[in-house]
Amino acid sequence: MGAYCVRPGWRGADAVRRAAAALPVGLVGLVVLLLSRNFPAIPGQLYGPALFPTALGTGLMLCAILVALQAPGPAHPRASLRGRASALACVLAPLLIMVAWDAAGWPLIAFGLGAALLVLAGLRPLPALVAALGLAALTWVIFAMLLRVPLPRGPLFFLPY
Amino acid sequence: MDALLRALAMVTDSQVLLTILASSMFGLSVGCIPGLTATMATALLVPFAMFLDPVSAIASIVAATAMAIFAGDIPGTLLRLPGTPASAAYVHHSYALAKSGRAGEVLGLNLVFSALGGLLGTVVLVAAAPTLADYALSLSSFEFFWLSMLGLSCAVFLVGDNVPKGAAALLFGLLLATVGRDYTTAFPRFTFDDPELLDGIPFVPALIGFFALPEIIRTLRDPGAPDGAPAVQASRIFRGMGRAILRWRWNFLRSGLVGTFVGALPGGGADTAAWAAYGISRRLSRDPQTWDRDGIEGIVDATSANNASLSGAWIPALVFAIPGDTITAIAIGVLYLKNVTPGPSIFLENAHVLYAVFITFFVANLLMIPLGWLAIRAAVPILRLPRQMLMAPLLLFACLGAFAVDNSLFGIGTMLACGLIGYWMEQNGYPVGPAVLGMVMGRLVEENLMTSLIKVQGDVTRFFERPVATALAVFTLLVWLWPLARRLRRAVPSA
Repeated sequence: MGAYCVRPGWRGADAVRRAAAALPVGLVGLVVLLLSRNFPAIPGQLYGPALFPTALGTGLMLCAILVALQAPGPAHPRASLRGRASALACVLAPLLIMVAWDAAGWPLIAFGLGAALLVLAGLRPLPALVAALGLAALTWVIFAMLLRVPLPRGPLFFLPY
Repeated sequence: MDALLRALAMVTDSQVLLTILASSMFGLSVGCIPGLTATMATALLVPFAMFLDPVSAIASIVAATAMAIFAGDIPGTLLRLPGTPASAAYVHHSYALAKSGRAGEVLGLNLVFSALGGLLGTVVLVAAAPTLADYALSLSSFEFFWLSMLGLSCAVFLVGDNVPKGAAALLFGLLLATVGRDYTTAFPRFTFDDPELLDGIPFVPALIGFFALPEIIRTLRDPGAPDGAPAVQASRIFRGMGRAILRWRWNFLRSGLVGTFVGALPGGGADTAAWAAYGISRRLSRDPQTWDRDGIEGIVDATSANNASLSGAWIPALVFAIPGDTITAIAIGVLYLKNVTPGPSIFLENAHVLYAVFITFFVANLLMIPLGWLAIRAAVPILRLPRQMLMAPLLLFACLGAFAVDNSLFGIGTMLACGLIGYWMEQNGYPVGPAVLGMVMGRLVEENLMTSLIKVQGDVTRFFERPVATALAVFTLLVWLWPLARRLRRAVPSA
């Protein structure tokens, strides 16, 4: 998300955007090269499990250099506070699902998260609650009842599978 | 002739026809839900198939998978979320066209060319099954390695003019495919002592993450942006289709054959077929600039190929009992359970079953037109909702799809991680498509590379000993040199 933090017009903006686009790729390549050095060799063989990752790591580092030498892409406009909050909620939602999975159960998670995300997207609270209720019911019927996915019921233990 | 008539009678039985219809609708529903693949549809059908006769069981798998592969195009076109991995190659172009008001045209082409591709693949299956399967089996690891290299190279050079970023994305995808037990020694690589990673990064959650999450984040982050919800009039999706079929007939024929061939190769699948046809389409296009801008040509090619590959995958499965992909692997299992042994003897012992499978392919692909049209109609109301309102349900569906693959929360974590990486990539100009392709083909490339290297004990010149391998290596080299040649060509007139 580094590209978003750069103020267009600033003299160092190009350099920062270039670094933001190239550095992570180079770092991944470097880490892969370092980790691959610990992979064991196969007795009697010239090549082992390190060969392919080493080639990929080297390739990634080369690509990072080439990307750093290119002209940077355009700067992105800064989003509104509400937009950033919605995007953050979108990232936090899967985390919340994983944390509350067994305790809250899918129907309550779907209802709560669905309503919150719909409100953040601009829907009024009452329609958002109704839509979230429908969403929780629909996902339960499709996944738990028809496709037999073992979704947790949480406190709503009476729900049919 | 007796076997053929017997097969015809079996397929036209009301129970078989009803099974095909129900399985088709099931396949359409599964294909429409991002994250649920055609393989998953097949796996979910197996418990039901156990209660059916052999022809109905195989018919249900054939119909469901064909429909699921087409249905994956619907969310891909309308929401930029490929319903199945087979639609990933051209989702970018489909969605861009849909946003410019051509959703109906794209979906119509997807539907018709999917059906035609499936029919063409079936004709090849019926006519040339033994020859093609024999050829695929004669390829060694050297040919497979160069074939993979050629496919990957095409992908990097098709993503646009930024080769370093395309190559970085591809290498990253290949790197993701190395996570888990190593092919040669079973040594765990990049697993960080997490047992969930021993079998590698789960592909479907990663796919959902790479494609769905960045789109959801972007839409919610910028609610003030002009609403690009594409509009489609389902009643008009077939307008101008006759002209389109005539215009793209050679593309369709070429890609249908490419798809069938890729499908027949063990390890190849509908997604690889789509990528291969898409890459070839770009390479062979008479007008690459229009190809990039318009995208229809690539869509026609890839959508024909992915459905044709389904038939292709049955060639080695039926003739040699070697599955072309995971779907046919499941289907072979069902055949064994039904006391039908696939292999050369099937032509003698169960010819009627074989012919029934062929007829089922024709029926399923013909049924695709009316049922697909209904599926598109059903999808239309979704478009009337404001786009950002769709993001909450999509996020929940994405999480459920990521979970449902292995019934594990690890899938949701994978989806989130890949989604954030995909978002960063797109914000910094890296294409996501090659990364996904790298994930799909990584294991195949490494397996064939290591097998070949172990065979030749370090003598790399032997990679070029076999004529087909040499030809593929030369083609790969030409693709690598293509940007240089293009620059030279531009420079010469201006000089």
